[in-house]
Amino acid sequence: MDYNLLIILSLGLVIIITGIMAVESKELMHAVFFLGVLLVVIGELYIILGGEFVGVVQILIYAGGVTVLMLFTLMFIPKTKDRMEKPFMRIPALITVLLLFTLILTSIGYVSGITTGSIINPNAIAESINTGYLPLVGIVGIIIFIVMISSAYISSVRRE
Amino acid sequence: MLNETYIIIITSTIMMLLGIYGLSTRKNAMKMLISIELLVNAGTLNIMAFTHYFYPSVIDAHIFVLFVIALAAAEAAIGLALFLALYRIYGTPDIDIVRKLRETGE
Repeated sequence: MDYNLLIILSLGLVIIITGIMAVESKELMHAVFFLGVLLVVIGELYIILGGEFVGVVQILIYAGGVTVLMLFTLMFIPKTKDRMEKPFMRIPALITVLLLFTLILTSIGYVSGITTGSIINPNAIAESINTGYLPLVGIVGIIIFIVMISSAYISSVRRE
Repeated sequence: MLNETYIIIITSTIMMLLGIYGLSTRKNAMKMLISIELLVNAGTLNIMAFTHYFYPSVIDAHIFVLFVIALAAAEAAIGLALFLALYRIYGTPDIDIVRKLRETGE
């Protein structure tokens, strides 16, 4: 078996295991830690796929920022023992997930052949963002500004 | 049959299904937020895998993934603010308890 393939296979296994643990673990803190591991491994996969810049941004923003934000939020609330499940939803959700998996598995069966992708230059990404995607950058900036104001407002809501 | 792109697409599929499963079976707002993050990351991983396979030198997908990461971080911030407000008002992270918007006499 190819060495590269083995690495990707092991990273994929880590992603699946940490994803299951993030959804299934009883402690919220553990779930967030597993999510952090998953996000770092996804960043590594981006780097393997040729997107070095995207991988670094993923690790910095997602695995760094969002995970720490979640941990800080969890520090504000006391521990909850309850698992908070909807037991009646478990079997329908499992059936839906299995059906979707079969559907997607059969539809992506045509993908074959080893690829030899090139590594994307971060300069090209910066140039493209600064020229063609400038309006989109503005829109995303406005959305993030709105999110900032609204989350500050939501955080100030008190019980009546 | 077993190649890099195939493995990554299967991985992202399983991630997406885990996200759907978690979103539909959990009542805890934080767990639902984690499931949404799984869904978003499955989507971006899929974009990267298909770009790597079909158009290895095109950078547009990378830029879209960057935008998705920025918007997902904003979504996480507002989701956590909602989670904190929910906890402060109702005293529990249980989503099912939020019934104030529902019509009376159910």
